[in-house]
Amino acid sequence: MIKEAATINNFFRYRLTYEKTGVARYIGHLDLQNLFQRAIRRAGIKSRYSEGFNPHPIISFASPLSVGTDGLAEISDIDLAERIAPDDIVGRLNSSFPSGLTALSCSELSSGEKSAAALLRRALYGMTIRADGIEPDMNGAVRDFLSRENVFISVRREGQPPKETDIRGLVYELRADGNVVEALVACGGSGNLKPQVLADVLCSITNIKLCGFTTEYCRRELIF
Amino acid sequence: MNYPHSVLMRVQKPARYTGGETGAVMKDKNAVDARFCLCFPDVYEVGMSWSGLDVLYSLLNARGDVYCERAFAPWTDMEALMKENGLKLVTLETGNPLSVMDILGFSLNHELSYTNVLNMLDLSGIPLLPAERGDDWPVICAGGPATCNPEPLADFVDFFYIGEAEAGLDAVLDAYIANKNGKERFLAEISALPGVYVPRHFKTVKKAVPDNLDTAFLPENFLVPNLGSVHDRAALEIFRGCIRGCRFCQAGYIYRPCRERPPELLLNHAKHMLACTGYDEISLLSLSTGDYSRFAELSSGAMELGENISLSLPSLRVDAFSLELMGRIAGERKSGLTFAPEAGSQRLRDIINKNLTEEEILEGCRLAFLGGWTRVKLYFMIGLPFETDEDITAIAELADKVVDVFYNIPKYQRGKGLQVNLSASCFVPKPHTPFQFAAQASIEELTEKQRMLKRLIRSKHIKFSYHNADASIVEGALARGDRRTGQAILQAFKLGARFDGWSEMFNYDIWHEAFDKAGLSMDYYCQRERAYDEILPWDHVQTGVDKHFLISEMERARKGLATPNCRDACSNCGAAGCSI
Repeated sequence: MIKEAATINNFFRYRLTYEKTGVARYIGHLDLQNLFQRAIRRAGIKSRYSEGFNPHPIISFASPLSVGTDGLAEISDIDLAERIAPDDIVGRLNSSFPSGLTALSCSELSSGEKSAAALLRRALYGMTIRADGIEPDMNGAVRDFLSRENVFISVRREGQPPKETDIRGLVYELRADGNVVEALVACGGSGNLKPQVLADVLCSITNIKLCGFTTEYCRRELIF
Repeated sequence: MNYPHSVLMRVQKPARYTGGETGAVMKDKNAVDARFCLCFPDVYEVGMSWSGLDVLYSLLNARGDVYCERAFAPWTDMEALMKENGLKLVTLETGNPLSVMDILGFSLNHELSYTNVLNMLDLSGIPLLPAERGDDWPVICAGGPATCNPEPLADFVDFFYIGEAEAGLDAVLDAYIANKNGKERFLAEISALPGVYVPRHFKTVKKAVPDNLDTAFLPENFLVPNLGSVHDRAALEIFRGCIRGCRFCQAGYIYRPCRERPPELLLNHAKHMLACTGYDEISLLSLSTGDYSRFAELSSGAMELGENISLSLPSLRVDAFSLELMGRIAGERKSGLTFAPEAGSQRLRDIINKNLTEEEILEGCRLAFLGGWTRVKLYFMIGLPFETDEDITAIAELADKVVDVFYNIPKYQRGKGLQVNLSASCFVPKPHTPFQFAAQASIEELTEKQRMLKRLIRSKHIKFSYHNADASIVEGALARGDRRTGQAILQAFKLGARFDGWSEMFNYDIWHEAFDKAGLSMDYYCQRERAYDEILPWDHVQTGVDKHFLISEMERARKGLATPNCRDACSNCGAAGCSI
């Protein structure tokens, strides 16, 4: 007998867009995974569990977000053991999420759809650059960066000699407004650029020292 | 935000300091009559795993006229940054400094957290001594098991609440609200309440205790940390107190009488707790879980709390029934099994009244090995009263016998890769136990015993671990300290002692110098045997158990006589409200 894929598999896939800001931006990626599992259980939503010795709900994230970085439209895929109206999922998660996490939208996926992590190509970041007590104007650095054909950085890995990598090709769009820089960069498995690395390069172009603790980063959008 | 982004980005685990968790209570701070801050003198993850937190937080916030917030000890990296940036310690809920609270309530779970109490006051800019804290400063109180000897912190604390919060903490808050403008009047009034001890108004104090737990307050609200904590699971307190009477165990005496909650109540509460927290694991909490009188009923109910909910059973005696149960819980995943013989020889186990026989341990191991388990933990103590070299030898022999049990099982019936984890902690005599009169073994003696035990262990299957002897000496000096001990704690704090319960932070030299500066000797508190007629610094605290009973138990220990558990025969310990 032929049945619909979803019925055979007996689970339903959803893609959730959510915001991670405020106090939630200090929650690390591993803790976020546990927190999602607990929030879903509190919301009375039945997850699909993995098989094996240690069954756990199947939730995957498009891309981990660094501790301290705001995420305005993060994406995760959630497998459920029941079909629920996507708007209902949003409402129920919002009543069970802790402070700083907000579900924005949700859609049901067809069973053959690739995961968000596999589809992810680009991310749009906002960076508020600060350096030793000053808020530097970044326009010159951005113009300089865009005019170059290659921008090499040296990547150090433990136990290996430093490797030169060209990051110019990973930056698609770049603009500055005073000390606020907006960057569309590669994100995901087939190429990834951390905004911290880009901010560091831009600062070194204008000969200032980036302050990693006061500079603020925000991931505004994840793009497939 | 409670602290600036630039500071949070510089510390490990910034989520320790941000709050905003599920279950965090947000109230209008201007609409209440009293602001209370629960202060836990250890790091966030430890404090958030403490099961008493939900009880107190929920009990206090259930009142419309009180707002209860939380503060934990900042880790040393945060402390340094707070000082560098002139930041004060603030609550997680409102981010207000502790100094604007009405009452700060410290939870004292063990003696090695005392310097953190002083540090948290200091980081809040609050004077350490009551004489320097006028009506504008918060009232400082402390509760928890360590306050069964309140004297070491009596110089710094305005009042102690000794006993269980459900019994009478509300009356204390009522009195505070009625006397808001006069700290001294408030303290004078509450000193008559059960469980309240105001060091300035020295008196005998009776532990506050609810008669039964059926009707005692149960938390409605549960905090779920945003940061992986030490115990990331729901904890269900199934009973309080213990029927066993192990003579070294303080909890076994100060939480008497043993009071159980009925299974129906517990299972309903468990469901509520799981629904509120979203945890997928629940742990049955007590001093000796197998002693719960309707355990079979409770455990089978607990296994059916929900799909994908797992059950953990700490403090369970290993026998055929519990192994069958654990086998069902664990399925194919068999983690380690724990035995706590505490002493190596039967003679010494009788002395400490740990009624677990060698046959029971070995038979438990045999059944466990047959059931597929291959990892066994064995917990012992060294430095027990009346301990001889033979008792130390017996520890190694018992571990060897466990290995023999494994190899006497035919190969096809046992698992692969036996591992026996043998741990020996250093015994610390505690107030309100029969061993409160005993001398504590010295650092040299303890180190020699550790060395001896290490030499005796040859099997490659036995992994031996032990703790620093010097931390247990400081713990012993503080546990049986008197009011003068406070000066040593103050000196140690000034010399930089913090998080003394963390082995990587503990510094014996600081404590040695601190006791010196205070004109005191740790030997006086640790190595001295107390006469039965000596007035002990904690004699004015009445836990309900008679001192005469403790003396008779010490005498029975001297004679190597075990005492039956409370259900087999009542030994007339004196615990009020006991209905066993």
